[in-house]
Amino acid sequence: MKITYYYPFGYFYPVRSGSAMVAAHHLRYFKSRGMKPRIVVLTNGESSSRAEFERYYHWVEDIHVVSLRRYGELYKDFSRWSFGTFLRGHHNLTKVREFRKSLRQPADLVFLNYAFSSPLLDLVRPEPARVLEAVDIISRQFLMKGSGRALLEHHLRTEFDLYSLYDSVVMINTEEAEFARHCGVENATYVPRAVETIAPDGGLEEDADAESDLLFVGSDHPPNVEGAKWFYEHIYAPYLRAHGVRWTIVGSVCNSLPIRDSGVKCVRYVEDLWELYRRTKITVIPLLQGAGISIKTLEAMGQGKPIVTSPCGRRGLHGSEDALIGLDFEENPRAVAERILELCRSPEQRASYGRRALEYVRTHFGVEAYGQRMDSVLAEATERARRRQVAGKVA
Amino acid sequence: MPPRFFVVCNNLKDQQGHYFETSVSVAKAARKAGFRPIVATHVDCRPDLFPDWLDIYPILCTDHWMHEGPARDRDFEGLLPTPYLEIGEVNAGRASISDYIEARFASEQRYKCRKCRRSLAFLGPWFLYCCRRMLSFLPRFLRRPLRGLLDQVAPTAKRFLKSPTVKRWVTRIVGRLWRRTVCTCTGPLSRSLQHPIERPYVDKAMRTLMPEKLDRELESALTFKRDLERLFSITGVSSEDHVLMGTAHERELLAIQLFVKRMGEGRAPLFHLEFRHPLFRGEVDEAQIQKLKPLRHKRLLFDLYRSQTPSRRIRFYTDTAELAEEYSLLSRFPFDVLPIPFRAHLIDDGEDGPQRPLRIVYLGDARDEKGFHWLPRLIDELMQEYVSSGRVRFILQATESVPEYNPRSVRALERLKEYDSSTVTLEGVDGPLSPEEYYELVAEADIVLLPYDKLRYRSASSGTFTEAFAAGKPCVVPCNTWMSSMLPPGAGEVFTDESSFIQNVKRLVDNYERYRRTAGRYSAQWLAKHSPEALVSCLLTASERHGECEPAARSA
Repeated sequence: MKITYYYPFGYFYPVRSGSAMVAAHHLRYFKSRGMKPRIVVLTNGESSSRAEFERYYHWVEDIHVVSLRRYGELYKDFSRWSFGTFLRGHHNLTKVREFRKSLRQPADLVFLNYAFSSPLLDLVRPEPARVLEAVDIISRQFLMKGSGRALLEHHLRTEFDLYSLYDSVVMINTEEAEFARHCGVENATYVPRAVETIAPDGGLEEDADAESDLLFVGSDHPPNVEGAKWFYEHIYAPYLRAHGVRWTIVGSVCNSLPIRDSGVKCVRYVEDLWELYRRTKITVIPLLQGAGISIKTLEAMGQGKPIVTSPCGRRGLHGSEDALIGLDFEENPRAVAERILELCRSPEQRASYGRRALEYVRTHFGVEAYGQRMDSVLAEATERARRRQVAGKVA
Repeated sequence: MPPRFFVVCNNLKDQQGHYFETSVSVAKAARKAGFRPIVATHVDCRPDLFPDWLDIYPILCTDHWMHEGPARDRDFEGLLPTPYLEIGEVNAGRASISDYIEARFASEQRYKCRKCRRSLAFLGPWFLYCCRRMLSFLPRFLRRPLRGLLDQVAPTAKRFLKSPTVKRWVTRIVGRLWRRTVCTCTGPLSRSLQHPIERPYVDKAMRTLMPEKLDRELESALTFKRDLERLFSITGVSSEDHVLMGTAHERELLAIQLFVKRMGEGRAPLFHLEFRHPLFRGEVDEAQIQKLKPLRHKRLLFDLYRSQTPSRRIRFYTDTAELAEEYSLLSRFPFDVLPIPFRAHLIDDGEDGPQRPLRIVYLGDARDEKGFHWLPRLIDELMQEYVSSGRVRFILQATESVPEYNPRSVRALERLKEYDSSTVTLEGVDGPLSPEEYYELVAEADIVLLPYDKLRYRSASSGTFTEAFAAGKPCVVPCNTWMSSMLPPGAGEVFTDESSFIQNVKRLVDNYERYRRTAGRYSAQWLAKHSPEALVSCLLTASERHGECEPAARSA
């Protein structure tokens, strides 16, 4: 099967962002089924990890890179965090000749990521099956606190309209998939993520000389920035700092955090994140808003880490009440701080939560389950595309 | 998905007046009739005032009275969604996804321009003012240095320079320049002028309305159209849907006509526009239409609508037969008559029989046209014989409405505050009453006072009268009005002036039991005619008829 895969995340090594990890799982799935996709990569011009990316995906048929830096206006569109501009940015991308040529290559399946990529379908031939990895209801991600209901509804309606253009829409949150179906999106399907877990014989025990007490991993996605800043101002600085708690923040979120504190270590990039997990006691997820599922929560659970999370950080993780510590951060920040301190002092509690987290992920987000669901999604999409072709010919 | 029933009320900002009551009651009736009700209000309206089952969109930036300019739109961050292109068109291959995106989101550039334009928007009216001033100023300015020259120049040349033709040409050229320069930089006018379908219509509207200084009306109309587009873009809209504007203005008619043109007659919902404001003070006289500026302007707006091919998706209504006659004369379009909606079930049955002392109640806002300023004298006249003896007490709703336009009511309120609260109770002084509080007052009343201006209310309906009569309360109403034509003999009293008003109140109190029994007999009949269900049924019946609207069952 010839597959064209649109990868809008730049040269991210999989753990740089949750969405990049989602893409990595897709591609790993294709590899496991003997398929070699063509990847069309959109980047912001950074080439520092290009070699690594190409090394990681050396097995694909082709990698075609489009750098936004060459197109000034396009770059501006993607610099502004709004559903409208991301949609328009992709609309403007369709005028880029190299991009057009790339997407119009013959294929059996075209795989796009996120609803805002939909304008690219104008370039795609009518024959291939079209699958969208919606990930989550992305339009909600663009709305910050204070956005009016009318704007939310407008964006939601637009997003669900765009879903109807595909043969199949894959979503990572079962409630959101149900909601989409309830709103008339019949082709929305829940596919649980495949989460990378530590090997069965890998130790759950953290290193005795844990480098850090708290860990937060995130990209420069605005909800990550907002959550980290809030956590620092309302919990870390007033309650935890005085107890000498060490907090490590990893990822491009560091670029947007104005935190200058000796107890907080900001690391933009680490070579081996799994190693860092082992040298940390607790993972904290202080997100205040978001959609879909928090991939970073799943990732940390897959590494057997105890997790203290806000309600948003455990969205979509049904049955995880015993596997992680969910607290309302905004309602009672002091209680959250006390719980973190208690957990820091108790290796037994940490080990217990870590075991339960790992068990939860292995049960609900295993690689096999993911593979089987994706098989049926692709089969369904291909069948719908065939029916679409027949209906088009008849018309 | 059930079809939608929109109640669009751009004057609905709070619970004051009958806007709130009408909107909620009609929405409830529409829901009972199998529709999905949606209420669109002014941006300043709080959604939490409404019941949870109702979808509220505080999205309209212009209000009915235009006391102030359009309010700032809050929710859209510069986006300009339009409902004219549906995803179905893309799925059917008749449009591209890019076209769809274009219809739902403004471009970044346009957004930036709009921000810039908003800050320069004041230049538009300012420039127009300057142009007008120059036109009148320039001849005077030129006249001085040219006076000497003109005296020497041949009389023919003098006549030429002063001629109306020259003035007309100058006006035309400057007007065209203004439209093509300032208009393209500012506000909703600019957007319309850039659109191929809207441009000829808006161009004609400008040429018709600007000489009458109605350019603000046009701006307001186009802002209203923009807000309608946003509403329908969010909620979706189809030809099976209905849109009711319970208190429409002619400028909104222009906006709706333009919307229907863009949408297409086959796809647009059915618009029901109800006009409720009286036109003539006193007898209907067509000659007044040209003499009186407000009437002349209204006719101008209706004529503009007619000149651009009236739509079959727009229907006209009033709520009294007299008003339908007035509007038909003014507009030369047929008007149907609608029942008056209110939630009668909120009126408690109350105790059987009158209570002592009798409660004489005034309901509604404290406005001069509602005769609020007559109340202190009425109380003074009744004080010795009726009030002090404990036969009657007064409960007066004293919610101030636009005090600067109701000075006599403001002075009357100060006087009323001086009375003992056990004999004269003032309700709603701090703000509008909630529907529950209002209907509780209706239920408590033994006698309802409506000392309204008989000329102003000659053809206009009164929600207060409707509710009071439905509750079986004897009323005191002005003569030669719709209210007096509806009031059966013996169910209340009719006054001609302030003195007869006071005498009638005394007569009613003296013979209260008789009046109460008579009023109670007609209550059920009245309720059957005037209800939200009857209104919705009327609208649906009208929509099923093809061709011209015939007058529906008129209120007796």
